[in-house]
Amino acid sequence: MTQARSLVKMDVLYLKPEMPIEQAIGLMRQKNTTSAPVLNDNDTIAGILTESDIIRMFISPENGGKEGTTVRDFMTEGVITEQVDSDISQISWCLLNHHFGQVPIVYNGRFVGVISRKDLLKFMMEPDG
Amino acid sequence: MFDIKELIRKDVAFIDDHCRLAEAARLVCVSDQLLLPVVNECLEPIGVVTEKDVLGWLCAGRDRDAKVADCMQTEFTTLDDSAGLIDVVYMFARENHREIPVVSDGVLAGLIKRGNLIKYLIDKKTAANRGAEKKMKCGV
Repeated sequence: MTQARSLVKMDVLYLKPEMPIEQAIGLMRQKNTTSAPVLNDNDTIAGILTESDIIRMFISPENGGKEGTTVRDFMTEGVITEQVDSDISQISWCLLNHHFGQVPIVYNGRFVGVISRKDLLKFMMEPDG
Repeated sequence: MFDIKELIRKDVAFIDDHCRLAEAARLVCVSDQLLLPVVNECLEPIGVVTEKDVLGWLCAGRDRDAKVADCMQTEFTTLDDSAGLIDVVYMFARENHREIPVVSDGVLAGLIKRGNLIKYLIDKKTAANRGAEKKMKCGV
């Protein structure tokens, strides 16, 4: 049984809820990532900021470009997560049955890293995957 | 003035429907694309195959020697290379696409990634803000 821990990518960009939205978008562009988890001070997950959220910001006339807006104003809350000891089949199910391309992995409620569909596909394409 | 060509990435991986699914998986893994346009011999898109399609196929324990045609989506979205900015933005916003193939006269011209659209929108906004600041400094 392969567990999530063997595929989890830990060196990933994360954001803070109070971070200015422009700064967050800049960091996401720099890291070339399509989404980033938003962490509270105790490393629990407050939300996730995705490209969809950013596009919505641009087409939302009341929010777009307002001074002082933060990640909290645009992030998606109620994020689905998986446990670090979840079986890979559970991770696959999660990534195939939701629209997001990567799932945050937690241990004791604290963020550890992410597993993306591409990570999983690479794993599946390995000879013994 | 918006020109969609500023957003189109022309150097894209694509595949034909006779290729093996394993080749599509390999291409998706080595490229930064999430979607491969599937084209006919005239380079006209006839479908798309996404990382999700391939992953779903493999996770279901289906035949690894299957062809792209077996798992590609034949109902898919494209943008024309004459589309306006509003069309492009709403297409990405409404249908939650992350990449959309672009066609020119029915032939694959490349694809637009959602991240590139965001970069474009931010650059335009930054330029507009700078212009406004300059005007204020000049007392216009």
